[in-house]
Amino acid sequence: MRRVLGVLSGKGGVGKTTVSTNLALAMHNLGEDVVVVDADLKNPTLGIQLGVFDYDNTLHDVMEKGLPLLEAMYIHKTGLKFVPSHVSLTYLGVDSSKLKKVFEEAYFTSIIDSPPGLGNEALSVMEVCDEALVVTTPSLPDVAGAMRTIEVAKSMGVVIKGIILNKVMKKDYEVTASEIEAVTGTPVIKVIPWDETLLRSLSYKQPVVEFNKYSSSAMSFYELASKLTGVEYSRPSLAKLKSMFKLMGNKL
Amino acid sequence: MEKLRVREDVLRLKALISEPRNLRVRNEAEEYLTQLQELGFRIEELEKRLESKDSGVSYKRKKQMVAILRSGKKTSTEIGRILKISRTRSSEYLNGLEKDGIVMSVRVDRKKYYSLKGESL
Repeated sequence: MRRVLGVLSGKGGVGKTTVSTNLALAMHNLGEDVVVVDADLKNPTLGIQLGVFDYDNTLHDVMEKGLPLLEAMYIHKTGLKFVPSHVSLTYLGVDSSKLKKVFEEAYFTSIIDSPPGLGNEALSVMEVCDEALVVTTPSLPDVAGAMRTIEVAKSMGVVIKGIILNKVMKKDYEVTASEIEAVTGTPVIKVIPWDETLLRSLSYKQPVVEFNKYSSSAMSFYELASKLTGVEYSRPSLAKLKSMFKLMGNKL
Repeated sequence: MEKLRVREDVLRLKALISEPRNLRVRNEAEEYLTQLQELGFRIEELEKRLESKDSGVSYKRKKQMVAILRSGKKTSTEIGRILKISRTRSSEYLNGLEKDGIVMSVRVDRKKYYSLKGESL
C-alpha cells in the first residue's frame, strides 16, 4: 500500500534524520514493510547514520537520470530498506521538483527525511507527502519553525499526524508539550528524551534502535512506531538495567 | 561490537564530499559507448541510403543536401540558392532524397519545407 510519510522541521539540527532512521527501523522490526528515503538533497546524512557513505546510485541519480527508485534502494544489515543521497558537493544542483515524478511510482510505505525549513527542496517533499510528522526540540526558535512548517504543510494538503518533541531534558526553561499543542493546535504524539546513548550510536554509525533497544530513546521510537502502525509494543521489563549492561558491553 | 573509528570516518567523509562523480563517470562512459554504437549503425544505414541509385541523384549531391539540411528545415529555393542550382533542379533532388527515405517534407501554407528524417542523423 502506498503511504508517504514526511518527517519535516522548521529548523535544522532538531533530529529529523535520527527520527526518520530510527522510526523506520522500529517500524521494520514491528513487521511493517517500510523504506526510508533521504530527500535532504543538499545535506544528506541518512547514509552516514547507517554507516554506508558512498553508493553507485542514489536518489540524486534517480532524479537526474530517471532511473527507477528500486535502482537506488539498498538493504541495511538490520533489514531496513533505504534510499540514500550522495554526499559529494557535485550533486548540489539537482532539481528537487523532480521528486514528485519519483514518488509517482512508489507503491510502498516510505518515510521521507526532508530538508529543514521552507525552501524549494522542503516544499518539494511536502508536495509528495500524504501525511507528515513535524520534529522540534523544546526550544523557542525550533518551536517557531515548527509552527511555520505546520501552517505551510497544511496549506499544501498534507495531513499532520503530530509533533515529535525531541531532545527533551525536562528543564524548567524548555517549552512543554502542552504549550506546543496549544500554540500549534497539533498533538505532540511522542516525546523523545535527551539520551547520550543516541549520541554514542551516531558515532558507531548504528540507529539507536539497533545499538541499544533498551535505551530510553530507542523505546520511545518503538512506541512511536507502534502508534503509527497499530502493532502492539510494550517496554521490556527491567529495561533500565538491561540498557546499563548493554552500554557496558558497548564500551568494552 | 564494532570498533569506534570516528577520526577515520570523518576523514573518509571529507574525501567523499569533495570527490568528483567518479562512479557516475563509469556509468556515463558505458552510456556513451552504447550511443556511439547506435550512431555507428545509423551512419551505416544512412551511407546505404545515400549510395542507393533509385532516385538518380548523385552520391556527392546527396551528401551536400544532407549537410545543408543538418542545420534545420529548408525550402527547395533556399537549398537551390546555397548550391547555386535552380529551384526546379533542387526540388527534383529533394524529391529523390525523399524517395530514398533520407528527407521528409512538410507543407506550411504555400511553402514546402524539407528536413532530415529522424533516423537520418
